[in-house]
Amino acid sequence: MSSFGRALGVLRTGAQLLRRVNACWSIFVTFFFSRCRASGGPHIEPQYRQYPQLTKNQQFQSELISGAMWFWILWHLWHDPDAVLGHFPWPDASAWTDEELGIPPDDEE
Amino acid sequence: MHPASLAMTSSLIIIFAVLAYPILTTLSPLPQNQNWALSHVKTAVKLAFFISLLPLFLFLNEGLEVIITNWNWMNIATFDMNISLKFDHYSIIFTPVALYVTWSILEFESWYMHADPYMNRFFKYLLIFLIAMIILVTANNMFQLFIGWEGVGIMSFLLIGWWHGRADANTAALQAVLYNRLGDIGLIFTMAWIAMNLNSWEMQQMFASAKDMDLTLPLLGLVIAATGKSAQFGLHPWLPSAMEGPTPVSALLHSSTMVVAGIFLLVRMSPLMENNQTALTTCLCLGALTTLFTATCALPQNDIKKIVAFSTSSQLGLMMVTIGLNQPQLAFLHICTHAFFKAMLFLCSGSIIHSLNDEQDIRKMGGMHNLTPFTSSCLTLGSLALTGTPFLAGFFSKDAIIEALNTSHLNAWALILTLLATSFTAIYSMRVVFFVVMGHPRFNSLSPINENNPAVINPIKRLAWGSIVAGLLITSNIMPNIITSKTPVMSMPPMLKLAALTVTVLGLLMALELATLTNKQFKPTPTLIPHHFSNMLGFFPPIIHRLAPKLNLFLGQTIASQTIDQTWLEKSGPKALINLNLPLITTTSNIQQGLIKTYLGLFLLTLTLALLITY
Amino acid sequence: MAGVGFRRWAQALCKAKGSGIPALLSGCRAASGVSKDSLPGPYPNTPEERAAAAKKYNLTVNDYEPYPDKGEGYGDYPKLPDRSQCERDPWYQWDHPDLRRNWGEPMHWDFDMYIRNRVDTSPTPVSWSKMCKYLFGYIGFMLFMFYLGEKFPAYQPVAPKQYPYNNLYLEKGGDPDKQPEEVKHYEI
Repeated sequence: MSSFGRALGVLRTGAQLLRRVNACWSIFVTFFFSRCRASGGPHIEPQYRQYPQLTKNQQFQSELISGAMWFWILWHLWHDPDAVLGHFPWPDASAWTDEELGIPPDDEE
Repeated sequence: MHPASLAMTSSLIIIFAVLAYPILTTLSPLPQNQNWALSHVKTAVKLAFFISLLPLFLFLNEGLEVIITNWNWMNIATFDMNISLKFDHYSIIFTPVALYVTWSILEFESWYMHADPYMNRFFKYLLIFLIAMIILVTANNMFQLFIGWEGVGIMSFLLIGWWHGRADANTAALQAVLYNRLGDIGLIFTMAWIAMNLNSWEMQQMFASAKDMDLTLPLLGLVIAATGKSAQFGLHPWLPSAMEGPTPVSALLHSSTMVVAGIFLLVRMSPLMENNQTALTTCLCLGALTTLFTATCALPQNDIKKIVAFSTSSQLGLMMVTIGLNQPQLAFLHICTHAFFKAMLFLCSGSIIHSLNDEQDIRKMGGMHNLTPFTSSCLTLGSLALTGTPFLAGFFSKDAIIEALNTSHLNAWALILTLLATSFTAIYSMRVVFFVVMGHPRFNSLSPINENNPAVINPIKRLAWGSIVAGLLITSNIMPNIITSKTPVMSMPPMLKLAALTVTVLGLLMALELATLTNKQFKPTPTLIPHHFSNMLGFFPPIIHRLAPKLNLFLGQTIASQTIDQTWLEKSGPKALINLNLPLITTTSNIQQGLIKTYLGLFLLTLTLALLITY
Repeated sequence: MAGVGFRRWAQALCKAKGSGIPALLSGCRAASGVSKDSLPGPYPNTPEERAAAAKKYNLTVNDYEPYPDKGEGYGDYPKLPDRSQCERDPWYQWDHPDLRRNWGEPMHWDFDMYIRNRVDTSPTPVSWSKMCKYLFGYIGFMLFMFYLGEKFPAYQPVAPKQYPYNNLYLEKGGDPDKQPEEVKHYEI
């Protein structure tokens, strides 16, 4: 169950980041309220030899999901790089000294 | 009864009831409301998903291992038939995942198929399919599993052939059903063997009584079954052909749920497999061969759905490799994470295909990030998750699998093939993104492009969030819960640890380099045979699909209607009798021709003599 | 055959609305098999017979070529080229677009084999023998490499495995007389 907590923590941090920027927050609000509109979505006029017009909501959503992905990746890379780079350093047997292993020097006799 | 087990069983029964209710409403003779699909089916699946969360949380909270619910159905002398449900981490986690993915796909479908006159029937098929899948997953005996297994097979046939007016769709549906039947031979053989030798189809009894037996034969049957259902090499051509069906069907059946049934069967049966080296090696080699072969086939494809289909096949090969590594819980993990991003990739490609007036050729797309920013973002996200970008869903399973491969004592060639296939994954994912999202549009400028529909955005968004966080959630929850699991190796040389990432990055860089090199096409059609080899799916379908039916039908006709006709009817049967009797008849009758007077004279003579003698 | 017979019988029943027993009887007779005039005629020997047979099958005399007369029941049925329906033009306005076939067109003897769901004979960019060589060569190479891989498995051990009892000398079937001195890696 702890991972749910971790995931929530990530989301909470993300939300806090957003909250700091006032502009972002207002977009956030409009995003949540604009979702409640009736289904069907806005009508977009066909354009000839031009890109179609995009709605704000659409652009925001795409940036939100990409941003969330990069945030998730970078946040974890920062806090949890072990998962990518290896959890424990691989022991290098040649670097072990005799004292560490408790081996008496060869000329002890 | 323990309260937790009671809660789980009852919630599963509620899930079945919720899902079955819309199907029961279709039995009424009145025509359904046009909104039936959304109002009944989607709501039912959504509700079932939220109900299925209850046993999941209960299971995780209590730290349970497995609960088996058993009802006795009937007894035959030495053989009990039961209806029994199994709640272990596999079924408890897979059910919500399947329901979540299905919920999203059904919602998407209400947009994608809105012009279809039989949309309600289409939703009904999908619902029946989903129920069959849940039966398969929760089954604790072979019989129930078989019902689910055949249920998904039949529904897949009906759904691939949805546009049955087209001969291609018909052929694809027939291919799917035939290849699956080949696999079923293996499953039925194994079930018969188990019923004969182990006297029970209950899984825990099978596992207990099969401890000291030689299981090579039944296990090979299981491998054949998985080969058919999960499209492993040899029985794979049906999966790319199945892309003839509607895109949501491809998303649900041929990427996230049905095709993993074969792997799921092997995961369920893993206690039988773990001590049989032959079966494990077969799985390992078969999986490695599949993952490389299908990844090779994906490289030169131009149809976006075909590329995604081949990547599914390649990932299934990777799961098979994991089974061969004797790490079923990793294979299961990959099933779960794969469901999210593969379903999302299909929905994104469906959205793009629909936007571009049913254009599937990636050469005629391009620049979609200007036109459908949300779909393009999610397509990129899905491709990244598929290639195993760190901390997205695919990473947690794929990286763990490749680490397990690297640190195991195993067939060197299988390892090489799998690593090669991993880098191929990066290449074809990069290719899709490069052709579809980047660059400039190469299509008719009058396409009605509009993704601003909640029925498009919401399902893709849900799956996108799933592809981001699902990996971590599932990994951190199932790992410690698995009692029988082999602990993942935590300590390894950095070279082995980074191998998966390295080959992926290498593939990505190579694809990028090649893509920037080839902004001009020098040869109109490539004529190299290796290109044809991978473009024509390794020549497998042209050879096998021409040879096998031709031989069968030709021999069938020659043997049935010519050889047998000639042997029985002409040389030894009725005609031979005629030929034999005719000369005899002619000879005898020739002797006796024109002798009527003599006969009459003799007749009268004998008559007179007889009369004279008697009186 | 029984299926066809039953269907015909059912069709006859359907058609026989009110006309009663005679229609039913003729339907029953059709169920016994193909009638004489739908079977191929005798093998044509003279040019006149050939021309008549060609006309019967809606073919020109030049295209008409019967199966060799070996008593296999082909009769005067024309031997058409072994081309599948897949090869035919998908954009042409066929009378029967599903089968890509025009009305009255002669059918191949193995027509059921060459419909679009079954055998495809359309030309491939690579010749058949080359395709076979590549595919089976690929499979053979893979199997051989798997065999090699099985002989030389991949694993990086940190150190050679050490076993008790002098590295399992006796258990591995070593000669007890020539047992080597146990190597001690430690000293107490």
